Amino acid sequence: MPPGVVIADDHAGARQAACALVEATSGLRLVGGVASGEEALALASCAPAPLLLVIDLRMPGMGGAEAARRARDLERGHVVVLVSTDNELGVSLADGLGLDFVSKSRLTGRRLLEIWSMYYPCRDCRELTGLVAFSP
Amino acid sequence: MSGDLLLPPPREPSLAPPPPLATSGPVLPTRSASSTEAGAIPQDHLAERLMRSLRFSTAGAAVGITGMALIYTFVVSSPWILVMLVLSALYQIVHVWLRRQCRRGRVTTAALWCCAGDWLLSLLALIIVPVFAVALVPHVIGRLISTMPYLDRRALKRLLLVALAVAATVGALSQVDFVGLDDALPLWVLVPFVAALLTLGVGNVVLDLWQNSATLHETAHRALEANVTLRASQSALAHQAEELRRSRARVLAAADDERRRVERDLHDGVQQTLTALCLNVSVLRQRQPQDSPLRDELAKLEDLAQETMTELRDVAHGIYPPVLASQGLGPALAAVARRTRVPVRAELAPVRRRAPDLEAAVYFCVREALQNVEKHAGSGAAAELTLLEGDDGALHFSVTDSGRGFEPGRGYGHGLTNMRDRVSAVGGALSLESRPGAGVRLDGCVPAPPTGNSEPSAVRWDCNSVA
Repeated sequence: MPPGVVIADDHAGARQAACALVEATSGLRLVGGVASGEEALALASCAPAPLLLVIDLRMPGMGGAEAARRARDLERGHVVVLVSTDNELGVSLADGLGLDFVSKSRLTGRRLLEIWSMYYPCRDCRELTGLVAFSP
Repeated sequence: MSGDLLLPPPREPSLAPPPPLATSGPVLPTRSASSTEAGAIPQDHLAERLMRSLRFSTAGAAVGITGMALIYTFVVSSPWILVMLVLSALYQIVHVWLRRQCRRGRVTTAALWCCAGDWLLSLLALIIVPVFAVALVPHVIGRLISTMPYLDRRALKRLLLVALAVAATVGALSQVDFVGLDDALPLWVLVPFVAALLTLGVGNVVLDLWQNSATLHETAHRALEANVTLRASQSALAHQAEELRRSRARVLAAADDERRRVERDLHDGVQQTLTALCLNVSVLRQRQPQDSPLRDELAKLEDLAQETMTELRDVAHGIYPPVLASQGLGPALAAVARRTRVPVRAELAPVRRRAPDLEAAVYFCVREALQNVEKHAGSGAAAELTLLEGDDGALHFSVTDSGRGFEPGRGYGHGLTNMRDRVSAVGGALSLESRPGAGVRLDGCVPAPPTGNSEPSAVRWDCNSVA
């Protein structure tokens, strides 16, 4: 079963574009697009299987960084990817949290699959990304 | 600068306007008390003093004139006495003029003319009645003493010379009896007259001694008053300087707020829409079959959109870097160092979060300095950036480069002014050192805020609150 992806972004246009990107990528399954860190966390805490959470940094409410930290701390096997239009801020925050960061405008399905396969190496992913997965 | 800025704030009692000076006697419409002809003694006080002296002289003259009139009527009807009488009466008119001069503030002129008049009249009296010398010599000396306070050093020297001449003349004249009135006047007239003149002369000196001590008191009093006023204005100036600093800080803080708002608007609006465009084009390209000519076209379009995105991000960064607001000085300065086109060795100690205006001041100052290194240091130059927190909580930062430097006094020009403005608005200071060929060293220090609100929670960024 392909990994479920949650897109968290408060900007509707950017969120829809990211959702469309996930839907267009074979090997990824869109679970939903949400507009806040809180909603993303709610999805993450009741998900039956590990999710790929793509979280924008700057969002109203608790914000992306805090949501990402909490999702990581749930220890339910979720893979969290931070995205932002600002690379400096993104790299700096993601480094601090030990998470992955992707520049928001350069987000691709392939990149998401690469990140997922670093945590969940599988045959399908290897085929899809051409990567040699490391053994856990 | 508006006048009300000079007004002391009402809550500080020491800044209340000084009470009006205690003046005895009429307030003279003279020049202000600060302009004096004779050193530190206030002008109006001198005028008042001379007026008292003149009044005393007038009283003495009245006694003299009455005495002479009595002598002329009942004892000796000499025309010389009549001449004396008339001259004395005329001299009183001169006194009226002197008092007017005095009121107008021409104290020195009045004092000199009074002295000269007295001496002339004394000499005349001596010619007529030489035996009066006993009484007139103290009178001449008394007038000299009472004229002294109104003169400066040079005028005083001249007056002393004239006094010597007058004294010599008095001595000489006392030996010659032109008119022969000495013998004509009986002893019972001469003795009271000489006694009265003596009293007048001594009285003049005593009056002056008394006035002298009064002057001393007055001068000391005024000096103390002036000191109070000076302290008040000093404190008002300090207050004004502080107010200026605060208003400059407010202006800069308002500008920073505006920059943050513009950056946020860019982020929430154009940047997101452009991101959506990038992603949509990317998805569209991937959906095309491998051999479609559209694929290349879409790839070009995507590159163009990405390029626009990068440019826009740089613009947003220049306006207000998000990393500064959200992560503080360390990460923000590290990012600046990475972006600078000359090698920068950054030693950034972990520092606590500060108020946004303070962080912005240090950030923009360092950025400006590094941009200057890029522009002016020359090829092959490298820079070193340090940031650390002192034991007192002050932030110290420095930007040093190994570039070509500049002549002392020429400097960065406008950029440096901006840097200084920013840093001094938050109470900090900058120093810039350079010599040709020896690079440039910029040192800055920003003190800890007076209140302990430097906890990170106090300056949480608006990451989460999109207005």
